[in-house]
Amino acid sequence: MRSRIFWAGEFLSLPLIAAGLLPAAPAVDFGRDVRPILSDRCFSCHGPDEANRKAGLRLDIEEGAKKARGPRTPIVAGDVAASEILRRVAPETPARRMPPPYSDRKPLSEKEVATLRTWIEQGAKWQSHWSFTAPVRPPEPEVKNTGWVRNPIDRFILARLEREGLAPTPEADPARLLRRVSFDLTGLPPTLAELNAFLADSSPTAYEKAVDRLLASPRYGERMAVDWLDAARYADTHGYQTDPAKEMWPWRDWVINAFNRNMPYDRFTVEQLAGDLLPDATVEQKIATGFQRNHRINSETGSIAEEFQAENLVDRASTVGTVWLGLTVGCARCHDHKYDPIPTRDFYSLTAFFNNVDEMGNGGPSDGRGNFKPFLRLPSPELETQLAARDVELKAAREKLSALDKELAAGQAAWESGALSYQPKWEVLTPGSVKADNGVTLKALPDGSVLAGGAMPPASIFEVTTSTKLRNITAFRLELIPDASLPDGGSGRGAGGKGVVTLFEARNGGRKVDLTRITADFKSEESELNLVVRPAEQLKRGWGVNPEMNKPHYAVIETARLFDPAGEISFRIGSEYEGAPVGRFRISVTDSEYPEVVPAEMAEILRRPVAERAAKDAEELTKYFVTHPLRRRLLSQSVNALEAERRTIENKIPSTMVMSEMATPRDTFVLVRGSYDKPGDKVTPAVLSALPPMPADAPRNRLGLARWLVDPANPLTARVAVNRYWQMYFGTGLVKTAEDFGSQGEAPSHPELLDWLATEFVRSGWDVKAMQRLIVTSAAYRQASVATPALRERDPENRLIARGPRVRLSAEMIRDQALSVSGLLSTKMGGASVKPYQPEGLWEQLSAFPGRKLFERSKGEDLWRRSVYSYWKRTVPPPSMTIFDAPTREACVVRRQMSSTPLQALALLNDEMYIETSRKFAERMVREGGASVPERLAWALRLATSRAATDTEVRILEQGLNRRLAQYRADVASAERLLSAGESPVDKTIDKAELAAYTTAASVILNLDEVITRQ
Amino acid sequence: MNPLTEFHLMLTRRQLFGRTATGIGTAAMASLLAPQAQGAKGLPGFPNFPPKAKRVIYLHQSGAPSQMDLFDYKPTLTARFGEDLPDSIRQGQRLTGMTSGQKKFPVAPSVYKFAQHGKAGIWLSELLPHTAKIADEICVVKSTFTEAINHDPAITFIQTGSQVAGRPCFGSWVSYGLGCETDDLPAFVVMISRGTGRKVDQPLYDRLWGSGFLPTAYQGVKFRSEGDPVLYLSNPPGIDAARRRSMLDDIRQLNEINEKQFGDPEIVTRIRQYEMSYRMQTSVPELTDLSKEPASTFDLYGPDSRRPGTYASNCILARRLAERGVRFIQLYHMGWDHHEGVPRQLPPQCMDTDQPSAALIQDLKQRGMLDDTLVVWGGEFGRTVYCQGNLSPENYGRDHHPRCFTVWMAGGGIQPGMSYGQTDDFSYNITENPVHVHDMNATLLHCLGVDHLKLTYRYQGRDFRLTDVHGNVMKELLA
Repeated sequence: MRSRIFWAGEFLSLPLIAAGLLPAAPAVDFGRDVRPILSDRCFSCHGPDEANRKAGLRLDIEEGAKKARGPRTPIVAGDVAASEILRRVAPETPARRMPPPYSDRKPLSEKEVATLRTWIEQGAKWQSHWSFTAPVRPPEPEVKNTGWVRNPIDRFILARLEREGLAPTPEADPARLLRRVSFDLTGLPPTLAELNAFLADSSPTAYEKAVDRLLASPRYGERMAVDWLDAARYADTHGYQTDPAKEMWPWRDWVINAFNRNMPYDRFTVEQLAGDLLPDATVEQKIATGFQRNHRINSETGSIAEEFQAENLVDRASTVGTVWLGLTVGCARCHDHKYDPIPTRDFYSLTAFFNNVDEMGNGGPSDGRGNFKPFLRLPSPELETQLAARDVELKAAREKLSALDKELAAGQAAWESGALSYQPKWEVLTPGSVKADNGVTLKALPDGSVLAGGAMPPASIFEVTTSTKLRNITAFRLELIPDASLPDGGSGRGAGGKGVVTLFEARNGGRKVDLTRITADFKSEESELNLVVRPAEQLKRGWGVNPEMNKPHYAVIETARLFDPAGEISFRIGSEYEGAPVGRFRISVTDSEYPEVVPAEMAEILRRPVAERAAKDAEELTKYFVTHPLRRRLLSQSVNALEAERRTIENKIPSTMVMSEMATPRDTFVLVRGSYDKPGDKVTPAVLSALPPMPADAPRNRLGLARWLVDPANPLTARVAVNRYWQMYFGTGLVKTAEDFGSQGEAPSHPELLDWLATEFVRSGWDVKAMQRLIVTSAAYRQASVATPALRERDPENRLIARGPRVRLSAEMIRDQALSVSGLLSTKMGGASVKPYQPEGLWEQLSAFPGRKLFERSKGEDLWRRSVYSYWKRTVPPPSMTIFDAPTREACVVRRQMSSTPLQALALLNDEMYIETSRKFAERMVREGGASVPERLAWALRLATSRAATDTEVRILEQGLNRRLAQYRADVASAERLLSAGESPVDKTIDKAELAAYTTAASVILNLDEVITRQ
Repeated sequence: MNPLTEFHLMLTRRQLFGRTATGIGTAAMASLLAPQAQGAKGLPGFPNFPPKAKRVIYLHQSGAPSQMDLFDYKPTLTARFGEDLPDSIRQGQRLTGMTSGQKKFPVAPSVYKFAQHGKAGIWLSELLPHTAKIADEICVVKSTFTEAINHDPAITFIQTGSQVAGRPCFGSWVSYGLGCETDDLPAFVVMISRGTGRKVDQPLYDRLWGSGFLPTAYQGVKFRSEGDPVLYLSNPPGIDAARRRSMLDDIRQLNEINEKQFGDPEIVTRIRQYEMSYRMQTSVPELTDLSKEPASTFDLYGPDSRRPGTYASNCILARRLAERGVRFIQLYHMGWDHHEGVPRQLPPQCMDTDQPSAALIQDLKQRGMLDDTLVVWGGEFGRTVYCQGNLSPENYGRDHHPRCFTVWMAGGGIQPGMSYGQTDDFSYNITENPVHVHDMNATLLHCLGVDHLKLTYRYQGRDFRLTDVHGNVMKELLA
């Protein structure tokens, strides 16, 4: 059965069979029929890879294939008997077979051998690989059914169909067509208003008007961006190991804007590859270069910078190869390309364009927002103003500081000579009133000191109230003074005159005076000086002077700020060390810069003669001297505080990674077998040698490369781009292998159409919107997607385009549609990525690494943004996206998988997001859908499919709804549980059981195959 | 089933095999026969020869266990305590950035006692008393080596055959090639547990069970111990089984109407997936419910096995999955990255894993399943003999070491009771019978009846394999 339909296909190589490519003429075409066989079976040993070439035989170039090798010649045009190749691919003895039995290449089938034979019989005409020759605009073919043709695309499609004896399928009904094109151009279904307006428009250009409206919608850029983000491997994390966050959304917003502004593809290319190198590059143009920084970056501890620098380069060059050239250049990393004329040297020459970035291979320090240099800060005007204000204050504070330092420095010598004997000027505070608890009596003496007597309780607090006119107080002094009335003439009331101070507290104007540190001219071994100013609840210890109780001693307690007392100062002196109450004490104040007791280490240096001091000693002294004065400390604190404030503001400023060139270029080498630590020959930036060269005067940098890519002479760029557009609409590109236009890729199903589109794209000035408009307004696109069993059998993948596309919606479209029909969709554009609903614990399960970020679900509107704005964590991407085939964004992808799995059913049925959207959709049904149940269900089905519901469908939905409604009425609590999903408020005006039943009907609708498909 | 649906399914299969007879087109049609819970057939012609093993249980020890503290006995090191690693051994090999700056590389002998076990006299550390009991069942390969020196590239390499993200993992390749033996469960299941040796350890990544460039349908399905065992498995609150069934009936009827009009076999596939999801809602909870396991099971697997989410509990689940025909069961146990405090961190880590791993082998054996189940135990690389950080007789740390490490295998097709390969006196270089990661993967595939050269997928114009362009089946390891 197959052989009857695919009679010609049997002669084709395997990729072409998969393409469903059916040659209309029996003549064998080298590029289409023969090269793929040679490429797949012969080139890996007899192709471009010189190092691994066997027997010195090359079959990838005509010269090699047709040159005599001793008595034998591989291919002799027109002479089957003389062509050695036929003897070798179909030998009588299997041991002589090529490819050899031990290789991993399959033997040629009989049909393939026959193809080779026929080609040789027909003259063995050689052609270079189709995609390496620049497209020439082909004439539009003649067709019989000219009435079907809407634009030149249709002539190419129809000519082929007519050759195949097939007819196109009639145009899709308007409602389905509008839904299809709305998804294709904006990623969203039409609203009912849009649908009704379209159906009501009877003008012949109604469809074109709708297309123009969609192209003008800001939703267009959001839809187009998704595919580009896949290609650019855009994500919100770096993707290795702990998968730290980064910030590239300004680049993502640049892409969306570029599509919406209809930036021509050549400019789109140049700005992303080399925007920074354009004359007077704008901030936007620099942001665009983030394309080259989206790749993964490994900053794992212990990673080797050179190793990952090499990986970064390979990723950049491979991505450019795939996205612009449709070539698998990365294959030439370890050896010459096995199939395409890309020597290893070419590959590394290509990487050299990207090796001049001021970066660290394993990241290096990040900018506080996870970005590695080079990056660009993008402050909003408001933040810029705040920053500028801080900068002014900072400058002033720093100036003050340096002025003070100068002023202080002048006094250092004097201080050094006198520091050991220096005593600040202390003003004794005369107590106004004194008071103690627990039976202790206090008596103020004429010298300003206070003498304790009376009871000997385990603990007592002494209170002294006083005042002073001194300003800018820097310290208090607390003296313990021996008194004859005390035991052994000591300063305390304990045995031997011991007394221990456990607390020193000053209050003024109702608040505590902040104290910093405490020093003493003498202290007992058991003393814990700090406890005096920072008392511990459990530990009543402090400052004592054992065994020098009968000598006067003092402690200096410094204030945290210059202290200007207002009114009374009240002190609390702790005397809580059992058995050693304080006896006689006195309090003084000073405004001296150096009030404290010189620390022992400093004293030691100072005691040594200047000549005997080491250089380090002088440094220590200066450091101490300069940093000690309270004024200096306060000023320095204020500088620190301002700096901290500045950092806080700075941390609010978005940043984005960009490309920028180093002044001195980094050398680039061929890496032997791709290994970073085996550099071979040095290379300089150069484009692939098999493609047209760069103009002689073009700069050998990224700008030169970018301009070369979009030079009309480049045979690949335009073809590769229009092929991806075609793939967007039809599910499969004209070249199915959108990522590979090389020898092993599939030949185009409609080569002339591909070339026409490519030349048209260039001719239009790379007008992206015009190209989309051209494709979606073709009759080919507008066909219905129904197929007769015969047509489906003949062309299951729809490569002939005898019917319209029927393609499952992308992950993003499925989610965005649910948000749209439920009315929850936020149209807010751009900004930091958002984290909508996902099952709990997904990030946490895979990583407990310190410093990891936990998943914090967004709130409110951010739960309902378009999926293009969802936060993309590469090692744990959102499951609702990957279950529907979104790639992980770890590497460039230009063609998504398309699967159908039970996990998809589970996600659509049970994900909190879809339960919430079903409920909101249900609320709309009740509010907007009409009065009766059938009306509401028909309204909902129409909103989700754009077409009118049939009676049968409504009956099915209604029966199901009624069945479940009865259950919810009997169990309202379960209805409440269902309605509680999601953060959006529940419409309380609707009966709960009823709303729950409608919610289940909405869920049924959102799960229909038709609803998650463009058909 | 609806006769029309049945007809289309037949048609779908015929189309698939009509095309795959030529070896291509499988990918395009993969969605029609997604192996996630579909009992899908594998590729035509697979297995390539009669397999010894029908399924794999892969016990990955993430973070890299220290081979010379567990398997690779080096008695002469004791005398060399604190000596600098000789240049003749180190041979200028690269080190990670964590120790490349160390001035000295002092030898840190293991503090653990070793003894020989089983008929073959396999050396095992005192930390593995239960593994000792299965010494006659396992094949201990002491000469495994890899190319990567940091965790992310290394674990990606051992699971996908490439250090760079984007390739399919082992389990995806196997489910792509061999399909699934069950109608009710996924072909490829992943379970994760956290170690007690080092609670905060190397993270894991979705890509490790990802399908890379293979169709998404071949990716591993992660079973979780908290929340839904499979993402989105449970009906939401307020939807009971009856309501769910009635919703599914509505969906099916409406999909069938659309199918009649458009005739797209993808719609038939979708109908099947919804039925399968419904079956999974029963089969998965039944599977993960251990309440009917007898006390003897928990005795065998140890006290941890009663706590969901532990390695021990996952080992019981692995056996239950194997019993139900799941093709590839991948466990990850985290917590082996002992850069410091090996003597503090290694024993609890062994407590987590020793008894359950041994119990799994014993359990499979007593059920007659060890013959056709392949079990693998190992990490992504080894650890250095030299000490990272400060060395004392009681305490040491070990950095990453790709040049040799130990993996053990057991069951279907593997030679039991054998020690294979040798390293030098420092467990630094392999001196005998090296086994590259690609060789190991080729050998494991061989046990499954798969020629690693034939299990290919065309991507970017090239036939990719799990073993890249390398790999030799290590015949000596085979039974």
